[in-house]
Amino acid sequence: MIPQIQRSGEVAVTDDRGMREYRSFVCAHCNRIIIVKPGSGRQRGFCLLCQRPTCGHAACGHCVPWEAKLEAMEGRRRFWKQLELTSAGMIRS
Amino acid sequence: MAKYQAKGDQTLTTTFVTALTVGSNATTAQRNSLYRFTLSIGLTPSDSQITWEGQRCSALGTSTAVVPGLMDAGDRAAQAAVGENHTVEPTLTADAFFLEEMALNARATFMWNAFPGEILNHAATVGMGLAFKALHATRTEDFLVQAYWDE
Repeated sequence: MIPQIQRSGEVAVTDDRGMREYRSFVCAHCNRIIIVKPGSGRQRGFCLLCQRPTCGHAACGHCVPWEAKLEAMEGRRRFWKQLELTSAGMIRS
Repeated sequence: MAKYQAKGDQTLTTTFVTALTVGSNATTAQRNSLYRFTLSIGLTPSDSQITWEGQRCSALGTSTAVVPGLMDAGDRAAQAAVGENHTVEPTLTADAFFLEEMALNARATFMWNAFPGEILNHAATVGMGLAFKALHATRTEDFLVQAYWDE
């Protein structure tokens, strides 16, 4: 297993002073990009169930993995679509 | 999974406007997984702070359709609904930012690369997508966004 410190994405900012690189990660619960700025004082979280960092927002304090949220969104859509089909069938019959 | 790329631009105004949306197909919904994007400004570089933001949307708005480029010529055409230069802004999901508001010097180019597997994605639901926006109080140049994704 790759340690979390090595599982970071990368942000590169290039301007006329050259290129600066920062580490970044994606919140395990809301899929938000977090750019690591050493010394910023911002507190982030770490989910012991997902074994991945979180953004530190209160809403991401409880473990609801992003994948589960996506499936819930897709499931709602499927449910409503099915309901439309069912009600359309009832109207037809 | 096949890899695709698209570029979008838009003119800066005093409110957030969208340069690029990458969203689910309008008939066969699918997820798109962004693994890289680039933010930059067109025309003359000078010192100004451009405010950037990336937000999820539930409707893609009205835009100029973009035909995504294939990273491998042997792949099928992209399924994603991609639009640039929006005339009607996407319906943004409140507080669903994938890139929180940040200021970037207009001389700078910003590139984000995901760690493999730790990608940005959206639900496979028609209308869902990712929108890249920017604003500036006075500048009216074009700002440019390039996105790379798997689908």
